Amino acid sequence: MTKIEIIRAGQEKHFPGVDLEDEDLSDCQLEQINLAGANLVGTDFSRSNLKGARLDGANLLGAQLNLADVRANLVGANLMQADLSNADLRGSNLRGVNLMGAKLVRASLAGAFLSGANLTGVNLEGVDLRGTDLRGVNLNSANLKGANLAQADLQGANLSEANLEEADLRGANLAGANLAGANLLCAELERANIVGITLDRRVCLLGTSLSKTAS
Amino acid sequence: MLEGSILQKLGTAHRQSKKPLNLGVYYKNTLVALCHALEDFILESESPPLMISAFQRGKWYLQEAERYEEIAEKALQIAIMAAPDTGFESHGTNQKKNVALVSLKPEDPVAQEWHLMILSPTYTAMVLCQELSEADYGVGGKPKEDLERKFYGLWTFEPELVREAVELAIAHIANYDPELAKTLTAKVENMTAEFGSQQRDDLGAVVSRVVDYLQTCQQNLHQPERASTLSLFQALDDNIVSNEMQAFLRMAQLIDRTDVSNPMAASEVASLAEAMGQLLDLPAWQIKRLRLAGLLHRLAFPKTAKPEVKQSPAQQQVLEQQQKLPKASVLRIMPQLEAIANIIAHQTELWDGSGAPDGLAYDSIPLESRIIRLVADFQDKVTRYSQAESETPSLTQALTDCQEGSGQIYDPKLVEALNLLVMGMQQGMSLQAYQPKIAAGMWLLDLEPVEENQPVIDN
Repeated sequence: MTKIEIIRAGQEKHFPGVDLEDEDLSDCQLEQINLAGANLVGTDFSRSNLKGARLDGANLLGAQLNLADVRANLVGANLMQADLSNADLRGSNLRGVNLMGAKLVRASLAGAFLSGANLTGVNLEGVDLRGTDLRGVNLNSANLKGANLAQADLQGANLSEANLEEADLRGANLAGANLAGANLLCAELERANIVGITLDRRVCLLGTSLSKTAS
Repeated sequence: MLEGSILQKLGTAHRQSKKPLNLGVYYKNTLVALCHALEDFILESESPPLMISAFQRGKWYLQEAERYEEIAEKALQIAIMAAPDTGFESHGTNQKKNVALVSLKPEDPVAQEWHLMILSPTYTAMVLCQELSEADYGVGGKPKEDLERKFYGLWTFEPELVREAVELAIAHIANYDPELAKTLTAKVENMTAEFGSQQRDDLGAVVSRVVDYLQTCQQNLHQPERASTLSLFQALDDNIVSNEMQAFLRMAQLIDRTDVSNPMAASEVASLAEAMGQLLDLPAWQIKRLRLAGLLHRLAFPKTAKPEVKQSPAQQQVLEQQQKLPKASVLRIMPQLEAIANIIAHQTELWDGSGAPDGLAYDSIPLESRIIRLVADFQDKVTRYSQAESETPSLTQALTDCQEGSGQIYDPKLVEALNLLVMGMQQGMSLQAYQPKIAAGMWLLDLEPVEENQPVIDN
């Protein structure tokens, strides 16, 4: 049996540092698999179940994770250009992960830990980020139109030039966040903490609901 | 917001209140379809309404003047505000006794607004918007294509809000035409006295009309020669779909509001269903679907809550089918909500197969329907017991009731899961009933339902 066949069969779960570049592992049951530090550049994991897997330190550059269950350990992984559309990332640990250029359309990120992650220019339109830890995250120029950021922790986040049109930021913590040039048209900021945020003249605050904000 | 505009005044009045306005962004084509639907429903409504509209420019009104003539036949009084263009005052419709024109000064902030307020004892609806200024459009500047013009504001069926806005509008009209303002005030007062004495018009019918008009508008947008010329095609399309869904969410909101005994049903059932989905480790798309079904679960029963059934299963089936068929179909008109409509239609099935509409049993009842049925009943019982103020905690009482139905009404596996959930809640796990931001509901929609096959719960 080849390495791929063994992995697909799911009997063996221990593959740290393995090289699976550009391999096809779509529609697989890979629960609890250990792929820590593996080379997974361009690997196809579409629709696979990676729940509880170890992917820490793995290189997932350009990997296909469309519709996959990725509730896994991703600390220090490289997810640049990865396709995570419709992926299940609820509650996963993405601290410090580089997600530049990743596709996250309709991904489920509720309760995920994204502090210190790099999400520059990422399209997160309409994504559910309720209660997510986004402290110090870099969301420069990201598209967060209509995203649900209620109760999210965005302390010290960089939201400059981000599109937050119609975003739901109720009860979110925005203390010390940078919102220079952000579009907040019709965003909901009720009960949000906006102490020490950076705004500039280009910020669009039309129709923004600011009631009961702590400022 | 423009200082002195009606939207701004309403916003200020609500700034410190419990319910700040929930504003959204609308493209012009969405607004046109929305207003036409709300206006045309007047012709079907049970009572003659008072209608106040603001058109920015007289020329926009002239495009609608023919339609307004027909509406004027039915209406009690119509007041139209616009900055005058040529022909504004001379149109035939204006000759009617119950149609009054108010020529706004061009510098009046209300001349930048687009309003439609309909107030009658049985039907209330309103669109309240203003256009983005040149600066607000940002880098791209004002769009060239008329359809791509952006407005921000709100639309609603909530009677209290409509009344507040109508009063603000009358106060504004008083600056131009004190006589007209007096007439309007008198009519509003008469109408307010009648409030509550009549059965409201069927909200389902209005909502169907709104969605129908929006879909027509969407079809026009999708014509190839049209689509290719619009730079913002996707944004326009999303805006229409988002508003179709808003129509349903607003309907659910109003059903909750009118049920004094259980006004939080939609959001609490949605939270419970979501929590249960997480407990069962369902995939994210299915949890999303559960959440939306929870929010909309009462749409199948617009009039009253679930009746306590004493008839035999067969009788019950006939009765429920009579009640349900046209109503569940309210949701069916929107293809993106087909899965949700299916879930809601089957929430009345019973575990042992004696339920309606199809008499499905056991695992052939869709999982989401089983979950919604259980948590909706549970939420209802908790609410009732907590109002009764007995010694035993309401959670325990409600759970005991559900456990008694386990194996007949409810799926035993799910009752077990509910038991776990209740234990969590008793230990302080909080399920936040979360009212979604209705103006931007896109994140609730799962536009690509991927797997249609029955998921199995393994235990």
